[in-house]
Amino acid sequence: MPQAVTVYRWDDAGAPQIPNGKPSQILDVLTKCLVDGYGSKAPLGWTRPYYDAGVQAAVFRNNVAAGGSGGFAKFYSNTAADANNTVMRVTHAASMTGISDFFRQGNTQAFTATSGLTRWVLIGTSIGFYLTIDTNLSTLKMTGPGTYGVAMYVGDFYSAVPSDTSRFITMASFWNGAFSAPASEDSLYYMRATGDSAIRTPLKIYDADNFDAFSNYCLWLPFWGNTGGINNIVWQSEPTSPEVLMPAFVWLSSQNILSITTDRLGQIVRDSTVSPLLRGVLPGYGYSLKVGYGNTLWPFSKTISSQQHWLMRSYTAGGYTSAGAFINMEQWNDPFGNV
Amino acid sequence: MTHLVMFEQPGTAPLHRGIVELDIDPAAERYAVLDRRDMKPLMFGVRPTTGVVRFIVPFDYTTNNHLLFLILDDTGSPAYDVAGTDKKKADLVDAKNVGSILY
Repeated sequence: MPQAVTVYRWDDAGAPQIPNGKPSQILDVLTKCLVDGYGSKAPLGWTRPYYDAGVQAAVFRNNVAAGGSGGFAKFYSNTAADANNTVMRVTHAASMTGISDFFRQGNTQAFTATSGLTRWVLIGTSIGFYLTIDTNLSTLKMTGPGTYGVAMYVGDFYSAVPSDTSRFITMASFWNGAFSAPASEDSLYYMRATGDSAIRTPLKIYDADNFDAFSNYCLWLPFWGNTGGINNIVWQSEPTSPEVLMPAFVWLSSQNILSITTDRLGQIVRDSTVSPLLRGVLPGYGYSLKVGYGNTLWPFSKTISSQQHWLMRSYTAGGYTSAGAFINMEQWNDPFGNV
Repeated sequence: MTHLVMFEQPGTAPLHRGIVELDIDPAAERYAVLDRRDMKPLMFGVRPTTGVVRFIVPFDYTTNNHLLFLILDDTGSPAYDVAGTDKKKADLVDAKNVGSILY
């Protein structure tokens, strides 16, 4: 069952705003996009089972009737204060019985809408969404130094295991697992500028049959591994040849295709039905084998195979690197045929 | 169109799991399902408005009687109470054809 995608932006009519990076402003954007809608835009059909304005915390749940796992995502102010440009935390759990009562909780990560980060975009479905927040620089390019941005995925990944009970994630970083002070690499934007992501452990994912054991997973982009922040003027241009988009794998950390690691049932992870080597793919995400776009101005989207695709920015600490990660803006499809 | 990356679709061989379905008394606010041997929780949640929860548990629980179901009344009189049923077994299900998961 394909999921229809809705794109929400800061410049939509009636859109909520994040002028000061306050937790209340970020929670308002999430609530309006996921639960309430705004202007002429309908919400994604999520629910908000818990909310506490006193400590700036909100819990969102994806839509079970539309194929979602019913997992829970909690966003909250790190200090409980509604301060400007302050640190937000994000975590997930299979179930919750109170705003701070988690069952099978994953990692808790962090992000900050620092000063100037006002232009938010949320691209999502009934089961998951990408949230990005970018600086208001009028000439913001797709790559470049000093242009840190927030970029995360929240929701179900498409699992290779049918009815995977643990497919709901919050991933504000593909780099670190649990952390409270976001650094420049803690954004999906850093993906293009880094080395091999397979050694990282951003995701704590419980076994697919609801057993009380977990494994560390990474977001692995094989063709981008070890081709990180190479600076060259060549990458300022847009590719003129047809795009080739690859899926991003939710992959058992630090393992390769010849792994003889076994799961808790003694099965080699290649064939595991509880913690497989290839656990799934990130929905709607495709990373290009034709990177570039360094001088392209944000925001940017292009038609690839008759569907509009949103180009994700690529942050780097210095010089030009290249961009090339796209989000499908029309429809997401489970390649495994489970959702 | 030729797909550059090909994902084989799931075959017909079943993937066996256990499934637990509870119809929870309206007086209860929360429920828990535990493994009675080590008291580790297999699910802990809030009673949905329908009262019905349905979720997957490991296959082992379809062949033994190790499940303990509890419902908790947090708002009754007395102010809290618990009821339960013990030594239960999960139903067998094919994870490829589970139907709705509710909890």
